[in-house]
Amino acid sequence: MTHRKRRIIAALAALLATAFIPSHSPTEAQARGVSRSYARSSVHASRNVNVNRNVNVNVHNDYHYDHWGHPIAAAVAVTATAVAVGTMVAALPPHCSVLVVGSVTYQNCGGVYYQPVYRADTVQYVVVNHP
Amino acid sequence: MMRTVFSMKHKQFAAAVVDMCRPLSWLAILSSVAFAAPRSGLAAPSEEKSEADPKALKALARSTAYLRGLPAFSVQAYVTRDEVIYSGYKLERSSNVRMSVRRPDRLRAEVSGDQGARLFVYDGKYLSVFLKDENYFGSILAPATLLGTLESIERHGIELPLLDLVYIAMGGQLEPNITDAGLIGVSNVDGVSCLQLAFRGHAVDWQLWIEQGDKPLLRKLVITTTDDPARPQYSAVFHWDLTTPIVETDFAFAPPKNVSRLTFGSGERRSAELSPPADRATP
Repeated sequence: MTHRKRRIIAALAALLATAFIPSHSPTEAQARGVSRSYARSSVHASRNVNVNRNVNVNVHNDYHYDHWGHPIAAAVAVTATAVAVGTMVAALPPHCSVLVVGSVTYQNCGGVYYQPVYRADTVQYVVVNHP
Repeated sequence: MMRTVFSMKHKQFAAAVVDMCRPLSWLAILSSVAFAAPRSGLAAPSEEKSEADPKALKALARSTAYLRGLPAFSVQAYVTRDEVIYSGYKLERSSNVRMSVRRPDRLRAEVSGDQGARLFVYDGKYLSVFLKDENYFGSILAPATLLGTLESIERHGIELPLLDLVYIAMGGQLEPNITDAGLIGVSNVDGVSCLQLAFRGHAVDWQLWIEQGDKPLLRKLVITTTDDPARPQYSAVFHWDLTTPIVETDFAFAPPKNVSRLTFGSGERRSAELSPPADRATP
């Protein structure tokens, strides 16, 4: 077999391999967290590539998500270990207490403080430093 | 092409593999793929130069001019929007919108839908959002006109309902996002005879239904997101009220006393501390 033929067959094999991978196979991160995207709702805003169409929510220790995107509480609540400030979550961990500072309502969930944010038409929570 | 390969029996498949080693057969395959490519009325912008139908552009311009001539209007809309979840499944989300607009600086929009109840009020100074079910309220200093506000809120993660309709009514242009346009024909929307127009633009294929006759109102809008492999769709069907008077109190809103404050965008700052949008930061 010539070198050229071997190259062609290798390319063909690679092509066949990609055909067998489902186009929407979830990555590990997606299976553990939740990644949603919405149809664009504006012709005008679509000129801007960076329009906030995607809602990517970080993997949360106390939750995983079923394949319809619903959060499911872990059987045993994992202590939120070192959640980075700035992390955005769609659902709060269980057992939070309210802390009002000024006009902002924070949630204290095991020593991690969450602040409500309006983003992509939903309320999400961002991890902040102790207010 | 791959599907046809898979439907072959093993012997045929082996023969095809051997066949593909001959350069000439690649030519044959490439040309067959080229001819099998779907042909639609709208040519992909990358394939050939846009041949936007001037009649479609004219119909859009006429409707836009009519909307801009309305000093105030109320519109109700039934909106559906696909949400793509990770498996590629498209969930349809729906909502009802009731909106009142007064040129150039007043808007009130009530949304009730799957995501909950939302109230947006813009009074020429602040844009406020109230989430009734969650009891959250947020307010942000906004530009002095509705058009300016629409152009600046995107970076705060706020998406107003019926954005395109308000945008063009306030003087915005959809034309910059048109690479192709076609006049499809007459189509009926809820008993109203309309002209159906098809457009193609960056990341979106979109269609408009414009009422025929003296009042060229938008009756329906469909947007297909083309930069997502699932091609999710948004649709809105509009019902207009051009007769009920719109009064100043329509644009007043005071949140309940026990409301929780919400921030916008990245949430790094409290809403009370949000600096005015950059375009009016310097007086």
